[in-house]
Amino acid sequence: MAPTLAHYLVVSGLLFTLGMAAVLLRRNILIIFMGLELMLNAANLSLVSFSRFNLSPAGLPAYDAQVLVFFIITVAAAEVAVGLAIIVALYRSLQTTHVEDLDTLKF
Amino acid sequence: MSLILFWIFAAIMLAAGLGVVFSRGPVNSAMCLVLAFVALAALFVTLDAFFIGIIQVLVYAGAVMVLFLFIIMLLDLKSERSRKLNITACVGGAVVIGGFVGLLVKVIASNPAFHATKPALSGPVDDVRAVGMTLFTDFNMPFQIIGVLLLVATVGVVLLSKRQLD
Repeated sequence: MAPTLAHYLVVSGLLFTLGMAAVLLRRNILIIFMGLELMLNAANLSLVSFSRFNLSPAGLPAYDAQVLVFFIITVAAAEVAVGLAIIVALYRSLQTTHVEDLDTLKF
Repeated sequence: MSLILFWIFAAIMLAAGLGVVFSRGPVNSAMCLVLAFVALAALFVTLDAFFIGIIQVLVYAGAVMVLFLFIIMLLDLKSERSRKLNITACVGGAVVIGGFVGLLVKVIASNPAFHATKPALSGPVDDVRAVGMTLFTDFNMPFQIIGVLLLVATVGVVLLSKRQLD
């Protein structure tokens, strides 16, 4: 018995849910950032599983999806670098990483 | 056999994800995140995506997480002091998450195409070559744009990290 596409998609959905829970429930901006990474990785998992379960005409996995995953990983790495630089700048000026203390723009 | 491996790695990944959400200290969360990324790389390998699995370990579990830990150490963050839970955020989160999972299960149950097992491959997976060919032929233009994006991100980070922002 081998895992089906549904197995992978449900696990990917649960991982996305955990990432979203981290974003919604945690108040530390670094943990919120980790939640974003989890959500990006959940998208990667579903892309790779679609690539394996829908073969190209040559009978090999559809590599377009894996190239898209490659791009997502690259963009995520750039995003982490910029985001962490912003967090460091924020910490320098306000000495906090709690989102509730950052209410300058709050209506 | 492959189903057992799938469940082992999926369970490790989801447990580590729970650890990210519910552990108090930022360092504990970061360590759980490393474990989740490594287990995810193992899941990629069960899907015959060896190149993506290796990239996942190198870039995420390596570079990105080192950056995270470096920043946590640099800012010298203490464990999150327990504040009262924001009830609105909890209820809203539960509604959004429950709705998402319910919809996902409904969609997956509705179509029998989702319950097919892995189709057999026609030959050995030569995926570094295949990904490289796709990347440099069909997706050459996006590849160049990604290069520019990385350059812009690098310059932006250097600018953001300078002492005075004025």
